[in-house]
Amino acid sequence: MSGKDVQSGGVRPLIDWRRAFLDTSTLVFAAIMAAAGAAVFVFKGADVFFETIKSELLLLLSFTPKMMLAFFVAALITALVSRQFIARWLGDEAGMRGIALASGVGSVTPGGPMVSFPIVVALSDAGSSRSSMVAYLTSWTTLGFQRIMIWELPLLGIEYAMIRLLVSIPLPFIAALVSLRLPLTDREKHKLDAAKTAAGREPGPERNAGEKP
Amino acid sequence: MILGLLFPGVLAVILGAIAHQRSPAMVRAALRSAFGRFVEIMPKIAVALIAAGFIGQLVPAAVVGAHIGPDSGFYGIMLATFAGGFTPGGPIVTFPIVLVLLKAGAGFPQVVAFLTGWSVFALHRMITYEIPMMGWQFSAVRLVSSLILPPIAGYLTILVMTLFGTVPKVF
Repeated sequence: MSGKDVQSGGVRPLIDWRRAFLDTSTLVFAAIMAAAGAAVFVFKGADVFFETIKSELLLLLSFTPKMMLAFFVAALITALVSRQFIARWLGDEAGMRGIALASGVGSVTPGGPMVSFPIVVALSDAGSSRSSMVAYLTSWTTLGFQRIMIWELPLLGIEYAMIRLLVSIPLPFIAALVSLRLPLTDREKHKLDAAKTAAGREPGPERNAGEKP
Repeated sequence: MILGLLFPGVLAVILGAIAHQRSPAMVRAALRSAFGRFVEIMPKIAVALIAAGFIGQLVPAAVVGAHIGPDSGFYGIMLATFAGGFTPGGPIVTFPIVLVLLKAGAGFPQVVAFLTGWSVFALHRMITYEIPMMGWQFSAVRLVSSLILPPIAGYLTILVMTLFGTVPKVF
């Protein structure tokens, strides 16, 4: 799922049905679902099988409104915040400052993955660096303020919750620094190529850059 | 539930107002793109959620507790890390499991490793959200970058608890 569509509006159809139903990851998930479902049906019985489907669909229904809102928020962020701004604060040149900022924002982002992942997608489209995104996600999961307030304080007690918080502070930095040593993803390679081609011919258009050798 | 809607809701209103002031067309374009993205991602998430639910039914839970006691050292921390990583579901599922683990005699550093493993690996969340939205390559990068985090958190907990006076055994 890449999201170049947000800026280039108009050319793209409202809903890409092929992408929704026929893309590889959907098919792989469907295969896993079928295999695991068959195993549950055989070993645990029909009751557990249908009960699982029901509870997962109810779960899906319960977070659908949050997710719709999150996608809207993400689209607004993409439209409002300039690429230069993201690139400057969270891009490749931002370095440790970007990692620290991303960790801070990740920690205060409340809500589940249906809120945080659309935000990460928007940041990625806007030119945020890999280390910033890894720091953001690690911080959101290990230092998440909301999770600590709602779950850990009441269930583990303040002392244990504070120890866990304390030992987790270095984690986003460690993950972000390790991530810088790993090979580039295809998407990052495309971005890099596009940036190089765009830099090659001066004021030219940014977007159609990849086409000419 | 209501609280969960509050944050994105307030954010949407504020950002929507700012965008509207710049140009009303911007809001319409954002709504359009959000709706398209949302509809495209939903079938994937539905299929992935059900798949994860089935997997959760197949993997046992409380058996692990006895193996990750305070004296279980390196083995216990690694076991807790993996058990955490394969624990499906959100906090509603996981924190009850944590209580079961503590009752079954798990050590706190091991529980920290478990919670960190669940937080950073979360197979369930990767399958449902990260891979569909960010691509498997980014997921792989993030996963590899996070491999050492749960043991680090576990050993830091041992260190902190040693400083505080509660002394769990190491190795």
